[in-house]
Amino acid sequence: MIARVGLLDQQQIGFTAGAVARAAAAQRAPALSQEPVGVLLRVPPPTAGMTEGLRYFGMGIGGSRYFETIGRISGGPVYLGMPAWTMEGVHFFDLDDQSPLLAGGSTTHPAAARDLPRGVRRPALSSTMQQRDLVSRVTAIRDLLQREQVSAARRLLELIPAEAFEEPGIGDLRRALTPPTVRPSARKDIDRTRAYEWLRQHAHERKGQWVAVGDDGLIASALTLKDLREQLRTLAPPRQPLIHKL
Amino acid sequence: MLNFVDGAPFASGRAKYSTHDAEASEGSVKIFVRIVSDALEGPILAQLDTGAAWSVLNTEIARELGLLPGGGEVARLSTRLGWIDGRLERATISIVADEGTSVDIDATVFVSADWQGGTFLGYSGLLERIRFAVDPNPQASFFYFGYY
Repeated sequence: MIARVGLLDQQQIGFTAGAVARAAAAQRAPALSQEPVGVLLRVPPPTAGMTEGLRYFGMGIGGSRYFETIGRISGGPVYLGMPAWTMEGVHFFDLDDQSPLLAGGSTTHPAAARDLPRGVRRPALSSTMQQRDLVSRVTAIRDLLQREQVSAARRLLELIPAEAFEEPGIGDLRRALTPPTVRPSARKDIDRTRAYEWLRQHAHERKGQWVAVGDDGLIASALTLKDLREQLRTLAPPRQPLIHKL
Repeated sequence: MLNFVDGAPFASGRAKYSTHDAEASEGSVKIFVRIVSDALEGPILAQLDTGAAWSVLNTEIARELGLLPGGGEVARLSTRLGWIDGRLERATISIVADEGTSVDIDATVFVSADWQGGTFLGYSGLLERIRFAVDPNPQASFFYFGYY
């Protein structure tokens, strides 16, 4: 199915927006119960580093609405993504500047079916282009991280080929974005009710200090954690104290 | 402990939490839960902060754990004390139970030599894989936690 897309704002931003939106809609065709009745709206680029950007509005099954973001990140491949709050997937389109999908067509006429397979294929770029693409994606991931959009950053990271993980910087990103892993532990702590009570009653007396508190009250205090630890190693309390900076 | 309606476990452990905040000037109540790292001589208190993008370690704790200076991803965090430059590092942190089962978490935490504040448990990189619930009963204020 090739969708028909209307265009409200016909300002073009470096490429023929309607054609790209048609490709995007075609990509989503299995999820649509009817021809999308979307419109294209020019919006500020939603991602820093995205030099061109459009937001696409469509109608899904049962009339549900959705938005997609289409853009290009610093000369890289065309980017299609869900907004961050419903980030369900991100696709990169391998469309060079000569592609009929970018250069031609009216904004209301469906793109030619023969163009679509080429338009939505996965990137198969030269090594230079791949490197540029990689840099663009890493830049976009870091930008998402900076804006605390961790889920979106993870989804973009998933699109980076595994062989690129050895590239400088990507390993650190991957490590930082790896979701936490949790496992049961045999550790156990004691009831700290009395230590909490000591904190409530006496904390104001030692503001700015590190304290070690046990069941019977203060065990040690110091201006630095390092000094407190040295005291504790010397004192060797029979039970581990609660450590806190007041 | 706590279960879903179908009987499946929600929380595997619980621990009493502290609400005392020596730095609080606005009188609001905070929730401090106990966490443990093998490198320290006892549990420390960390403030639960689901609104924080990342967990943040007090600078001295980060240094004692060998996370400063680190080589992790460079990051900038917006805090109540302004923008702080630091790094995202991986660390194993345990939430310890008074009753039930404790959990070890391989987490991503933000550390910075410039951070003047305390230790916080934030959502991304740590709490996102923890089920938790709070019983605010003043006679027995429990933090329930589990994992999936």
